[in-house]
Amino acid sequence: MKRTMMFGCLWLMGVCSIGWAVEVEVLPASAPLGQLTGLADLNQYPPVCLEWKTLTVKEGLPNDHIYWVETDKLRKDRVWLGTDNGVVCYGIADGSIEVIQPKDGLGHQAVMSVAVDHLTGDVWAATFGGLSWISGGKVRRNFDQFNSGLPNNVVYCVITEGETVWTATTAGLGRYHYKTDEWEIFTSLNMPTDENWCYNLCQGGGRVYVAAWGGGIIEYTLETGRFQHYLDPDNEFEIDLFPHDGLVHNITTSPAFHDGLLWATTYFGMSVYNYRRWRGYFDHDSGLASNFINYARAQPGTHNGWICTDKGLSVLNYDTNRWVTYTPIDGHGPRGTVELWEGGERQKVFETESTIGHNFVLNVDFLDNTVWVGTSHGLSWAKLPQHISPVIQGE
Amino acid sequence: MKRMVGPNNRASGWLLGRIADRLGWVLIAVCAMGSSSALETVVDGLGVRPGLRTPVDNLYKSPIQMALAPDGGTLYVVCERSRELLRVDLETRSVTAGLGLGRYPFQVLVGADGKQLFVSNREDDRVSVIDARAMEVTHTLVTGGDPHGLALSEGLGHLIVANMQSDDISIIDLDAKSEVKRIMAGHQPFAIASDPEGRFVYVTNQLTNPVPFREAPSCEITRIDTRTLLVEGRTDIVGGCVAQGASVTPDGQWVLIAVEIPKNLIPETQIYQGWMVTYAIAVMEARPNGRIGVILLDELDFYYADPFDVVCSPDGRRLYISSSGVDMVSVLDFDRVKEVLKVNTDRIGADAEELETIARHLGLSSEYAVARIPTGKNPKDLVLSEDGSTLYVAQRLSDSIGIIDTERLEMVGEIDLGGPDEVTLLRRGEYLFNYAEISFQKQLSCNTCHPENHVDGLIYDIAVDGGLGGNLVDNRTVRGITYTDPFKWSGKNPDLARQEGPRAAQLFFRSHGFEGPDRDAMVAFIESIPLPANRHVPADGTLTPAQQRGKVVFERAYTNDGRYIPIGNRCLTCHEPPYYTNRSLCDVGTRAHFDTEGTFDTPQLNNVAESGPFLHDGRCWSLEEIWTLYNPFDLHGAANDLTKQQLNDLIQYLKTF
Repeated sequence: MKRTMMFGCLWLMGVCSIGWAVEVEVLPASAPLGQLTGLADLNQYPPVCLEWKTLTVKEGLPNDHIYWVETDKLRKDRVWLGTDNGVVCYGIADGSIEVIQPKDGLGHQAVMSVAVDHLTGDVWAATFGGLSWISGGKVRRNFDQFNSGLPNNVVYCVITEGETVWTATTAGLGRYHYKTDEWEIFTSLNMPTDENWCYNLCQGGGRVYVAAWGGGIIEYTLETGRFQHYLDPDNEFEIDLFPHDGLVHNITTSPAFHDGLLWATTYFGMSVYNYRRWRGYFDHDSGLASNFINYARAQPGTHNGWICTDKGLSVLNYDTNRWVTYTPIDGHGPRGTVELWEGGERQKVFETESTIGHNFVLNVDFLDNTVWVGTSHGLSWAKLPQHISPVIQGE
Repeated sequence: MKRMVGPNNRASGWLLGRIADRLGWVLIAVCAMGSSSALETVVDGLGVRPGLRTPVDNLYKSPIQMALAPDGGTLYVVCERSRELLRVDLETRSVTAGLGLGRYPFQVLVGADGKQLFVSNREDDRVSVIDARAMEVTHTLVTGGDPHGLALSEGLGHLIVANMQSDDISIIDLDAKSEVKRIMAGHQPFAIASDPEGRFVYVTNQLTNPVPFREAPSCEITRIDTRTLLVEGRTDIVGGCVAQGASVTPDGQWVLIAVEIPKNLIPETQIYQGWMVTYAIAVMEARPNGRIGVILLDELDFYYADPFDVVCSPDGRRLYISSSGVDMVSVLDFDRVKEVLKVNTDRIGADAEELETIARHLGLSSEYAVARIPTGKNPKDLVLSEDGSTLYVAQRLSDSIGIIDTERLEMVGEIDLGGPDEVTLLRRGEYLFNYAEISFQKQLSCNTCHPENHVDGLIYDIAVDGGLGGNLVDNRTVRGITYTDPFKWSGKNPDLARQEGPRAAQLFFRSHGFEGPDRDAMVAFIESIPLPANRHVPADGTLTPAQQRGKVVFERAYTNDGRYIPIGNRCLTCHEPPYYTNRSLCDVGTRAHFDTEGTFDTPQLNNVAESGPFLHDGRCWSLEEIWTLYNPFDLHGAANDLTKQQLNDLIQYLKTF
């Protein structure tokens, strides 16, 4: 019953949003870039990437569903992918593709998340069959709920923090201290949530953030070991009754934190918290491609949030409320459109010869001046415009 | 607390131990002090740990590792037992200075300029940094558990330490004097070999990584790029175990590892065919995940038990290997070895099938073995002079350094390190434990299966008790086992004397067991083997919150839903402190189809985390599996009502025993 209501509301919101969209001229892809700046200075927008490349099964990927993208910030020469058929190590310079699958010891073919340990360079893969430790190019061990303290075999996300590895599982949160081989488990028994289904994780600012399915955002402060819980003040409502009053929905899909901003995505819109006030964003009042958001990642040093939705990739600059949204034409390109928004007003739409691989966008990450995007039809990447340089130092 | 019993009072010691379990050692100590002058006092620092009946014998030097100073005229020698670093003048062949070290020192490493020395102190979890000229400790560096092998990074800015207990590798910033990261290793990282430039180091891991039940062991060689300080490769020596000393050839192309090739998947009766264990050098291509070829040291009717170290001559043409179980150094022609492996420049050319054959071919060593040079007792570390003309051998149980002329291929001298001439009962026992003389064709010593006086992590088919293929058993430690009788998983051995006598003869050595004074010495030595410090207990002795919660689970009398747990089904009943065994046979529902009986000796649990795999047949590679997979009917304690958190807590507590 609740689900019927939920989708009913979604449909209504979708219909309403049609009326709010600003009709603007669509410039063809062949239009000179100068024309684009007639209306808006691109420098004032989040990154506008015009040339995209995409890697799919045709080029050697084991599967086109790219659940996770993790750039190797230690080695800087490779990108790790979590796919529906194993872990992929993509060599940036030579385009090499190395695949690690269950036959190589991986816990399961469905890899929902990959993390690179910022100290050791080891790789951790969250799979539907446990947590796999990859080092020296090989799976060295698979931690599961039977042979270790891992809460559950269905692992949705993994991150590393200090000398610990955090896992979000369907039966709670696991923290593995690899120096001491100890596991901590956080569930509704010892953290402030009724929901054990932990969906996504991030860390920053001395805290670990958890997106719990139906449980909002749970914040864990590393120094004190204390939890803070963020819930939708409207509770069970599927629409946001009071704007900017807090989290827009309790069914959260990802947290992201950088430079003092906490980004929280849901299947019903997005919230950003600057530790003073919350802001809510929906597809009907902003440049957000869709309220159905799979994931968001904060771009370090910019206050830009890259938001992965089922209808495209949106980028919001929190300070200016300007948006750029990338959408493949016909859902999968290769041509696409780029929309520029200011708040809820669409300013410009133009076509591009290339775009992201699919409008169902699952994940995103950055390495130096390149953005890497995981979609349900391959891995896409583009150079970030040169004018986009970090404006915020540190956190 | 002090143990109050000595080697000549085993019977009374046993009785005291039994009583002590129930009344506490303090009471026994008070009684004993007032009643018997024959009892000895154990003053070893580890005396407070349970299981020490015979005092540790610290009279001897026991040289274990060496390093040559850049001037080529000074040899630094680590003496394991006397806890010293000795400076030896090679011209006068005499000890010129000594320095007291921490507990169980192992490796000494010379800094590039020769002014600084590093020594790992295993029991202290520290590395001593020493001013070489003054022979003074300037400071210490904190490491992981049981620091063993050492190496310096390229540029000399970082010290790399293999931590045997914590199964990891410490990277220490020498300027900051602190650890900057910890890299997960294989199982019991042992030695570190560095290439000539110091760019890459290779860490040997002594024991096998977890492998599926009844599959061949596989120990890892971890390759680390010392510039990035990242792991660049993890190569498995499939079929290998007890990988120890290693070195890289002067051209940087090959990594050489001393290793055992156990045959634990077949019945031990096959000892007559050389199918109990063989000894080898693994030759690995020095690149990420390079191929490995294994060549045997052994001959058809003679085995070179317990290879400890391997070094390569400066011209890259000869290998020298110490076999500590047979008091021998083997000399191999490396060119011939490469021919056998069909080496083409820097790649092994033999295909997988050929490598399988070579690794098991007992007739091949005559192809490449140049000489076998007898040494003093229990040769360990090897050091070559810069020009390769002289090989120094740490003769651990002779308290001396052997000097081999590599032209004449014979022992030409010996440097006495100053140990006593007297051979005590313990020393005799230690030698017997480490010497393969007793076994058929010198195939194995006690140390072969119990390296570090501990376990090799293997499952054996001992054959006789259950017939071929029956009653598979996990190897058990010999650390701290006094008062944990009976012995063996079947509990058939009431005491160590029987274990080391007829049982050993029948089951292991296929010759004869230890008899008379030898058996007494052997028993005395085993009873003297202490438990290492338990690193899971916090430094201040206060259990962590998780451990405290685990203690509650361990001692509980009611399930989570309030049901009473019968006394016989509680953890505490069968695993009572201080050894955490009731010394009885129990059926915990783990009988396998190839077991003839379902009751097994209740194992002691001291330092249990370090003695995997678990259960009588070693089917569990983690403590968790004991309850998540193999306790469906609560026969191994009432545990099926536990939450995952409670099980994790319980395991954290078990690790503190």
